[in-house]
Amino acid sequence: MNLGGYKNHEAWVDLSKGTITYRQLNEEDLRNYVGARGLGVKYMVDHGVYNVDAFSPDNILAVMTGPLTGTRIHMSGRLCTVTRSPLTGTVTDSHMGGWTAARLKWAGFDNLIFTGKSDKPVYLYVEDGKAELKDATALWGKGVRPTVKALEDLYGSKDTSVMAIGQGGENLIRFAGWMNEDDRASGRGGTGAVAGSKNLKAIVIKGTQRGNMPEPALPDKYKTAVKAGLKAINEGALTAPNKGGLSVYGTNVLMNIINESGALPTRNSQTTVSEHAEAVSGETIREEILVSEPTCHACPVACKKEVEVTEGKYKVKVESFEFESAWALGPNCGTGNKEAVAYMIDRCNEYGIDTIELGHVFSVAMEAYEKGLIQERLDWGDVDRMIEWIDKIVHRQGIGDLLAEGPGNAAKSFGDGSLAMVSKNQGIPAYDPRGIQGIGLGYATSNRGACHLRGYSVSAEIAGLPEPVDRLAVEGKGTLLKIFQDLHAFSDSLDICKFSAFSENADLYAEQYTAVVGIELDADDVMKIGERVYNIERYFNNKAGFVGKDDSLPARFLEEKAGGNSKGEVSHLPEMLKEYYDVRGWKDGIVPAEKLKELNIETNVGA
Amino acid sequence: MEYKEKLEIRGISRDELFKYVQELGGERLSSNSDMILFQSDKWSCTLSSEETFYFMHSDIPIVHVSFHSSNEDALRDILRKFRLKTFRAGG
Repeated sequence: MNLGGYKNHEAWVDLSKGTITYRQLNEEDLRNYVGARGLGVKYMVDHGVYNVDAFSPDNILAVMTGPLTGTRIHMSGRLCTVTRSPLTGTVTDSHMGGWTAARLKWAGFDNLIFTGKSDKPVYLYVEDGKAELKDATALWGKGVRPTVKALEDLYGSKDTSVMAIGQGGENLIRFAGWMNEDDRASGRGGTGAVAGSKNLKAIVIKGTQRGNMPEPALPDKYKTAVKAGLKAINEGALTAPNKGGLSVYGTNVLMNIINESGALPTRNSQTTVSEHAEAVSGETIREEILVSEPTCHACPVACKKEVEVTEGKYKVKVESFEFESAWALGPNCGTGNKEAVAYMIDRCNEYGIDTIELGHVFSVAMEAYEKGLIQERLDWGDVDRMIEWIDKIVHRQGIGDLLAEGPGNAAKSFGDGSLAMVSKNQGIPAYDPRGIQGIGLGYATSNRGACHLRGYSVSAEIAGLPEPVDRLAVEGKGTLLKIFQDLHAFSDSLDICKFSAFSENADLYAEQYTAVVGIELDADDVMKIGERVYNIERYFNNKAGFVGKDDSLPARFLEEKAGGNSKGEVSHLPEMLKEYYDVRGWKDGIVPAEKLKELNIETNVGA
Repeated sequence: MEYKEKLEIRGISRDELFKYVQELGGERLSSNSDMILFQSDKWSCTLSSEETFYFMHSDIPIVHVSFHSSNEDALRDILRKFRLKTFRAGG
C-alpha cells in the first residue's frame, strides 16, 4: 500500500487466546471507507457480527483512527470505537477527543481491533509498532482516574495516553463508555461495557510526535491544506478562537437558545421549556465556575470548559460541562443546580458512564415514581438522591440494576415502555423533535440510535447556517437531513471534529484528504463516500433485524403538544420519513440490493 | 424566460462567496459597495453587501446571493454546486 497518512499497521488482539496479529490495511477498503467510522463498520460487516450478543466474545471492539489523525491537520484529534452496541443492538461508533488518537498513530498504529474474551482482566500496552497484553487484575474494580494514575505512574506521563473503563464498563452497564485523559469520553452506545465484557480494562499508548507524524503523500499540497483549514477555523463565525460562541462558551452556548425556541426537552420531555436552563447555561457557567479551557491535539478552538466547585458537598473540579450533560442531568431531571450537575458529571467520568443516558434513566424513574409505577422515590430535582443512585446503578444494587439496563429497558420493567424517550433504545439528546422537526427525523433514522451527531440539522433549523430553514416545516427535511448525515459520515471516517464542520466545507475536507492520502477527491466524492458509509451501517442494521418500524420516535413526540415558542407542535415524523426514504433510495428502512450495488458495497462477505 | 433563485447565506463572508462563484466559472462584470455582478456562459450571479447579525454570541455574516439563467437545468446545476460549497454541517 502506498497511501499517505496511514501507518498501514493494525493489531488484531484475540483476547481469548492472548495473541496479537499485525496486519496491513487493505487499500480498496481505505479508498471506499477511508478509516475510523467507515472502516470500522466495514470490519463489522466483514465478520458478520450482525446477531451476536454484544457481550459475547464473538463481538468485535474496534478502536480506530483515520488518515488525518496525528497529522498537523487541525481538529483531527478524534478517536473512534466501533462495535455492536449492547444498548441498541445496532452497529455503533463513538468518538472522543484529547491526545489518545494522535498518540496511537505516533506509536505506529492505525487501529486496534479486539476479539474474544480474556479469562482475566488485562490491558494493552502499545509502543513503537508493538502491542503487548498485560495483567490488569490489580486495576479491576478501580475507577477511571486511579486506573489512569496507576498506569501513568508505571509508564510515566510524558507522551503517554491512557484510555480506560471504570466500574461502569466492568459491571456491564449498558451505557458505559471509554474515558481517556480523565475526562474525555466515548460516551454513547455502551462501548465501555463491551470492553468490560472482554475483561479489557485499559489501553496504554506511548507515542512521541517527533519523528512519528504520518507522512503526507503530497507535501506541498499538505502545507496549503493545513493553512486553509486553520484559516477557515480562525475566521469561522462560531469557531474563531476566543471570539466565536463555541470557543468562548463551548457546546453549552446552546442551552438558552434551545430553551428560548421551546425545544429543550424538560422533565422527561413532558414540557419543552425549562425554568432551570439559565442556571446551567454556558453563560452562567463561564461567569461563575469556569477555571480553564483545555484543548485537544491540533485544535485552536478549545471548546472544553473545565469547572470547579470550591466548597460544599459538591466540591469538584471536572472537565467538561457540556451542553448535553448539563441538559440531561439538569433541566431533563428538573434541576438547575449547576454544582450538583458538575458533581454528577464527575461521577460519570470516574465510573465511565454516559451522562446523557444516565439523565434518561433518572427522568424515566422520576416519571415512573410520579405516576405510581415504582415505589422507590426519586423526585424531580432531587439531586442528592440522584447522586446516591449513581452508585446503585454502577454497582447494580436494587433499582440500580434495572436502570443499568438503560432507559428503554428500565421503562419496560416499570410497566410502561413509552416513558423512555429513546429511538432504537438510545436516549434522545437535548433537542426536542417537536420544536425542531428535522432533528426528530435525524433521531429516528440514526443508525446508532437517537443521536444529534449523525445529522446535525440544528445548524440550519436553529442557527440558519448556511441557509435559514424553518425549524417547524416538514417538507424538505428528508432531503436536508441526508446531506448532513452523509457529510458527517465522511468526517467521522477521517476522523475530524464535528466543530470543524461549522467552518469547513466538503471542498476543504477533500483538499486535506487529498494532500495527506494522495488520492484526488472532490466534494462530490466526499459526499458519495459519506453516503456509502451511511448505507453500509444501515445494511448492518438490516442484517441485525432493524427495519422501517424501528425508525421511530416515542409516542409522546407524536401526540403530546410542545410548549413555549413551539407551542402546539408535535413531530411530523411519518411525512418526513417518506421523503427521507425516497431520497435515500431505501424501501421501508431497508437498503435494496440495487443501492448497495450503486454504492459499491460488497455484500458477499460476513454471515 | 428567465429563471432565478435568491439565497440567504449565513456564516460565510462575502470574500469567501466571491471565491466560490469564481471557482464555479463566474467572471466579475462589475461591482460597487452594494453589489457584485458575475457572469458565466450559462448563468449570472449577484452578491449583496455583507451584513451581520448577532447569534450564539457570534457575529454571523449574511450575504444575499442571486442566480439567474435562461436555462432551468443550468440554474439547477449551478445551485447544486454552489450549495455544496456553502454547506456547513456543524455538529
